[in-house]
Amino acid sequence: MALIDVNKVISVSEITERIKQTLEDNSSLRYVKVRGEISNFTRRRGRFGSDYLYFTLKDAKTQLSAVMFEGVDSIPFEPRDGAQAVCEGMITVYPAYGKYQLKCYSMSEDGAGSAAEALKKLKEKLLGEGLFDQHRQLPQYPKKIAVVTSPTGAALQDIINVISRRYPVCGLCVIPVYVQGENAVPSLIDGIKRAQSVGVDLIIFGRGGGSSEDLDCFNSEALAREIFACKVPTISAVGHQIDFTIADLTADLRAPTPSAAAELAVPDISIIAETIERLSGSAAYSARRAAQDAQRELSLLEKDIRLYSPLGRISAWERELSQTVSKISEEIHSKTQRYERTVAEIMPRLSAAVHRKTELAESAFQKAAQSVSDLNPMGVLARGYSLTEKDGRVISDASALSNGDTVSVKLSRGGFTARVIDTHSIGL
Amino acid sequence: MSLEMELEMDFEGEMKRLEEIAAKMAGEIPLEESLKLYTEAVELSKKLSEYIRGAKLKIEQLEAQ
Repeated sequence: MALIDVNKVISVSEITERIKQTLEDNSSLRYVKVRGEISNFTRRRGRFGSDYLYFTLKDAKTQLSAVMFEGVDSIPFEPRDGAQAVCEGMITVYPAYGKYQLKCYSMSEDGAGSAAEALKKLKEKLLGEGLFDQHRQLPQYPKKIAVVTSPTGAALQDIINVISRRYPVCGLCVIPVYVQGENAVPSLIDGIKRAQSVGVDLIIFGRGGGSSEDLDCFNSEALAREIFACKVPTISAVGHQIDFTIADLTADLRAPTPSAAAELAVPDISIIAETIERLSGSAAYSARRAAQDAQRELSLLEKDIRLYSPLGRISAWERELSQTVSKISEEIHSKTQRYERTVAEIMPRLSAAVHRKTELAESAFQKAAQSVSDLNPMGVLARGYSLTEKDGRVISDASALSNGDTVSVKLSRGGFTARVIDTHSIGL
Repeated sequence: MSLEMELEMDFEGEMKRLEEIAAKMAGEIPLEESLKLYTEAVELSKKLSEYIRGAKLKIEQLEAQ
C-alpha cells in the first residue's frame, strides 16, 4: 500500500475490500468491549438451530450496528429494546451494504446508571405513591369521548372505525397532539387538560406503536401525574408488545392497541338494541301481568260483594237454617230409633218379670188364704177346742174367773152353760 | 333530526330510565302505575331504537396548539 496510483479507477468492491481489510486488521478494532443501549432489536432463526441477533447499540449521540451469530444461547439476560448491554466482539465490514458493524461473541447486561434502570426506579417511585392504583369505572354509555393522539396516525383512524361501527350514538372529540419527539410530553399534557375542558366523559390517548425510543414520552413522570389527576377516566392505547409504559400503568384502563381501546371504550350498539328489545318486552309482560292480577282481584271482590249483600246474607241464613233443621230432625230420628231399640229389648224381659211376680203373688195369696182359714175360730172348735165366755166376753185367762161363776161354753156344734168349781193357773 | 339535535339526546339517561322502568314494573306496583310506566317504556324504546338506526358518529377536531 505504499504506492498509490492516483489515476487508477477502482470498483466499489475493491475499495470496500480495502476498507474491510483496513478495519479488520486494525488491532484496536479486533477485540472491543462496547457499552450501549440496545434498539431495533430483531431475532431470527439461524441456520444451525440457534438464533441470530440483529440490533443497534446506541448512546446519546451515536449508533452502531451490531450482529450476533455465536454465543446467543449463553447470553445471561433477555436482550430487548431499551436494555443497556456490554457487547464483546470485533468490528467487521459487511460489503453488501457497505456497512461496518460490531460482530458480537458475548453480551451481558449493563444495569448501573442506565436509562432502563432510571425508568425502573421511576416506576417503583410512582407505584409507591399509588399512581398506578386508579381504576375508575368507565361510563356505561359514554356521551362524548376525547381522542388525544396524532391527527395523522393510523391510531386515530382505527379508533374512529371501531367506534363508528360499535357505537355511533356518541360524539368524538379529536385533540391533535405530538406523540414523539421533544414536544410530545408537553403536547400530551396539554391534550389531556383540553380534553377535560371540552366536557368529555372518557379520554383515549396513545399512538399506534413504535420503537422504544418513540414511546419515551409515555414514560414521562409529568405526563403520569397529569393522567393521574385527570377528572375523567382514561384509557391508554400505546401499541407495543414489550413493557408497559408509565402512562399505561397510570391510566384507568390500558389497551394493547388503539382499536382495542375503542372496543373497551364503548358498548356494542347491536347488543344495546337487543337490550332495548328485552327491556320493552319485559315491561309489556309486567303490564300484562299487572292487568291480570287486577282482574283476578276484581273478580274476588265481586264474589265477596255478592256474598255479603243483604240478599246474599239471607240466602246464607236460609242455608244455615235448613242445615240446622235437618241436623235436628236427624238427631230426633236417631234418638227415637235408639229408644225403640231399647224398648224392644226391654219388653220381653219386663213381661217375663211381671209373669214371675204374678205367680209369686198367687202363691202368696193362697198361703195367706190358708192362714186366714186357719184363723177362723170355728175351724179351731171343729178340731175339739171350745170357747168360754163370761158375760158376753171371751175368757182366755183363768184368773178372770172365780169359783161359782156361771160361764157359757161354745163347742163346734152347740154349747152349754157351766159353773166354775175350781181355777188354776196352769193352761194347756 | 339534525346531527346536533341527535347528540342533544341524552342516550345514557334514556337507557337508564328504560332499565329503571323495567325493574320497577317487575316489582309489585299498582295497576295504574304499571300502565303509566308501560306507556313510557313503549315510547322510550321506540325513540331509542329509531335513534340507534339513524345514528352517525359525530366527530369534531380541535385546533392543534
